[in-house]
Amino acid sequence: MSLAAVAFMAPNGRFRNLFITDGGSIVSDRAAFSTDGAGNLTTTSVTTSNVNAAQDPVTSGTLQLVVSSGIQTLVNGANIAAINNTTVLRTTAAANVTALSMPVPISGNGQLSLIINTSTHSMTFDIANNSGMADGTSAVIQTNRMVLSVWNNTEGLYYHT
Amino acid sequence: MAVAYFAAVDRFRNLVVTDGGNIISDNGNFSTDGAGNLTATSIIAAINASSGNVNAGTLQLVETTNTAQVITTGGTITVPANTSVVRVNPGAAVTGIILPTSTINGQILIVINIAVAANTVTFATAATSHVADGTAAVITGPAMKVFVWDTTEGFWYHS
Repeated sequence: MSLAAVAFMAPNGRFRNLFITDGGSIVSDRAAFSTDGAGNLTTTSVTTSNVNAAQDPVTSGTLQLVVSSGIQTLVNGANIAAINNTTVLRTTAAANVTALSMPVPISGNGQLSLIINTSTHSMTFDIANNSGMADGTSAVIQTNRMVLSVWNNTEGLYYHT
Repeated sequence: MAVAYFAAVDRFRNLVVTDGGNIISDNGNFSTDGAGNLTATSIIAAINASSGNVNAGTLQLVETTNTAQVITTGGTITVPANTSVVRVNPGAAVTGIILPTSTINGQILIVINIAVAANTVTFATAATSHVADGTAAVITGPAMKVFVWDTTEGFWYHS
């Protein structure tokens, strides 16, 4: 904070924590919230419904994806269900299963989907036209592994690692 | 724009609250629109958007910048706080490798093996390594694996 900082409305206790510097930056929330005059915000945490930085990079220290609290038991021909605002879907199976279909993409182009196979059985997808997985029946989630896929709107398919 | 409060005082010109309820500050670089949408140049913070979407232009993960970890058989890969990409560099093929447990359900971790192809990294049994498929998990060199932590199962799962 510059030396020019002043306490804004300091006589009123409730505003004592809002400072504005001559450089235009603001400091508040007991100094846990500040800007630098160039639009860069530093704070402890931000809780919001959506983050839209489509025109800019997002840099993440730890990247945490929301995991389904429940687990889907898959059978032959099952459609893996999409869950709103959930990227990691936990699944299991009582035997090797085939002809699976990927979840319907919710947020669209570039959406990531991560499916965990917690079972000791393999999970094989259906042909691409049915499963939405680009390499169709070649896509197998081996036992105790996961598959990370990205949805491509143009092709209308998921592509996995 | 609606009426700006506090504008009469020079040094406060950078904090504008409009009749619409939005705020503009930081030389105009920081603003809200009265509907909870914040626009800023950058945000340095822990961001929680678990009830919505994160739409990223480029998604960049923090990677260790120090020398790659030289792991040996039975070694544990160190995962620094606030880091998503770690690099290892075994001097030979190694086995019995361990990943630390996580407290963050859904944490993404990428392990890069920068060594030559022969210097593979093979994990220990699941109970020891915390990798779900245990000794079947092998990172050849040079290659990487993506892991996700599942708190319920208590394992890292890789693709």
